[in-house]
Amino acid sequence: MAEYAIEIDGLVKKFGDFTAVNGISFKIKKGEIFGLLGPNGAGKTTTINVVLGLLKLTSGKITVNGLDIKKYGEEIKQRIGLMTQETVVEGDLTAWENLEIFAELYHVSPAGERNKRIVEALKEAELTDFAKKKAGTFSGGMKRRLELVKSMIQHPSILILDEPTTGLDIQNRTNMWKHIKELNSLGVTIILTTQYLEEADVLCDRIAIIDHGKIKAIGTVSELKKVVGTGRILEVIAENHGDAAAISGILKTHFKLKPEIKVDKVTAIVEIGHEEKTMSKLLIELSKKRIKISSVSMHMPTLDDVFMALTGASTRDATHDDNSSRMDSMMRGMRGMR
Amino acid sequence: MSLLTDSFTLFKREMLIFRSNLKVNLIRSIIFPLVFIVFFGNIGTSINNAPIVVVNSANNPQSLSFISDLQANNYLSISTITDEATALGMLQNGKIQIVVVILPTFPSSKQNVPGIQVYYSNTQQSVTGFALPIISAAAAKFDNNVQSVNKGPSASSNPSGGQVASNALYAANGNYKDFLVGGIVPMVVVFGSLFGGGISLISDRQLGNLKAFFITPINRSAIVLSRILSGSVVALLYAFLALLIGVLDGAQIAGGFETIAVIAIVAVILSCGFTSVALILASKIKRVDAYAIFSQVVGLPLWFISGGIIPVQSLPSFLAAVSVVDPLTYANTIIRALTLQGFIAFDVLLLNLGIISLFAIVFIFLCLKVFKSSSTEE
Repeated sequence: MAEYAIEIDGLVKKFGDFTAVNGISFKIKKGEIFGLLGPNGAGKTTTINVVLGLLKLTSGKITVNGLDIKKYGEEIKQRIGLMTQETVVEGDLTAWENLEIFAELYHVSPAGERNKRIVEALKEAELTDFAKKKAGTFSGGMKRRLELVKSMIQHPSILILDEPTTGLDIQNRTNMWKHIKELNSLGVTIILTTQYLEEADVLCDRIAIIDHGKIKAIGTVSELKKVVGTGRILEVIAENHGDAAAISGILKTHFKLKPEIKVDKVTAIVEIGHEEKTMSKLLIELSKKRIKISSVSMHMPTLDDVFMALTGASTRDATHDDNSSRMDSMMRGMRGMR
Repeated sequence: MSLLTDSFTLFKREMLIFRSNLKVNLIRSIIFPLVFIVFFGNIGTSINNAPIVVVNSANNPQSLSFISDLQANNYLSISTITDEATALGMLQNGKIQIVVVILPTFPSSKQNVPGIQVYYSNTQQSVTGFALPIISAAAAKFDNNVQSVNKGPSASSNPSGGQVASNALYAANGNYKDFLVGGIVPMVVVFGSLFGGGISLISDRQLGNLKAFFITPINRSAIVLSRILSGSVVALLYAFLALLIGVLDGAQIAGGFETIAVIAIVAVILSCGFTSVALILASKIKRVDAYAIFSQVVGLPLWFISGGIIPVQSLPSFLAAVSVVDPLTYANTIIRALTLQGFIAFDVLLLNLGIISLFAIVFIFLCLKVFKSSSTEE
């Protein structure tokens, strides 16, 4: 038995001249929840699609449960389940039919075994009473639960969750986390991509942060947080966007900090022991210069800060599309939840 | 083995989705045959109250009797006017289509002296084409010469019957509706296949269903085969509905069970071919709206030049030449012979079936090939 569920060694994937994944290597242990984080277009989904056999790798080697994907593509497909970020349960089909079609496509046989698994899956998803109802009539959370049990219908040993909770409300999201943890406790190795760093923080045993097709960092959550340093994070949000640069200037000149600007938000790392002094002095400076702020705070480094520090998402987001600003607002929303 | 079972599973999925949207699908499938057969099939077969003005310059008992003969005809609406200039003015204004002037020479039996002068505008062709023979027939009673003068865009001559005795052996009562019903069948099959096969593939790709299938250990060809299979079943249903609408509307279909059976075979072969064409197009075109337009661009000309609504013989020569490479032409040849004549020579049937089968096989093969290579790199 192989020790690792997935081993990726020097994976390169090019689309024409564009290199989406540039020499990624990592190993995912059996039974762990492994998080794959990165800004949009970092190469997460490409990596996953290569593992799933949807894309052919340009170079490198991938083994799943010790089997080379180039040779054992069919066997590997039986062992990996996928739940994608788009909910792909079929609205025109009933919950039962949705599960039945995939049980057949995964060659679950005989029919008795198929039916047994469908009944179990419906129970698991708390959809037994809705078996004969069309999935199109389901709520977002119901669809996502159905999707989750559908991706497990062949009883895979590895489950890939591509942004499993995007668009779910908080209640359904926590519910989904519970389901994911339950599956993991049954021995299923889980690979998770997410936009919610909070989610990765709660669920993942280890995390790899990918950007520009390369791995920036890999490790447990606490290991990663050390990347930011041992200090505290100072965060100032200007009332007017235009003042952010002025705030940054004050932090640089008066406090010798290295601030980063993100639209109206200025962040900087403050050494432990200097927090209170810095805070009060900063407020005085700001009122002197008549700069209005909407908030100022000091907190422990979070995965957000690690993410920002490693991927420099801040500079890119300011000029980037609304997708990343949506990500930003979502992350802020998550922060508000704490 | 797994190819067959996988294909069947996906076929089942397609049919479940079809059943789930049954109402919309059925309405979509009958709307075209309904419009074409009921509307175009019945157009021009009868004209009611064609407005005609008669100017009586003869004013003798025969001329009055001629006018009352015309008035007795239900299809014409006759009014009399004394002034020829006013009548011609009405013709020019488009208020009427025909002016009948009874000349003072009426009734005339001399070859070069007309008794009745007819002025007509060919702007409403079906009206003049319909009314002129009625007027001629009424005038013939008085052994008269009718001289027609066309005021409209193009002159048309009305050859008189003469001494030829004709005997219609096939499709004796055949009218345009009977002709049209046969031509509608390939249309619903082709448009059903092009639309159904293509749109479902594009939306499956957009919704992520295709990805979900690709990560299962199925044979990729099953995705193509299942769609060809379900496309055929649906096409069969559409073809029968089209025939049913035609029959309910009074169209005659010659032949019995054999006619229906052969039409079913033709429909299935055509659908296999055109579903493959649809899947090839849909694997290249990523947007539903672009595909919808493109499929019309492919489908409509093929249908028009195939003899579906007008006989191939009446096509201009350059289009007639193109119709030779249109598989629908051969489908129409078979279906027309059967629905109108109730009979087709075995060698003719074999040749035409062979040609459309070849078309279908080539495109199924191409489709399997295209799908294997293109869908790997999403």
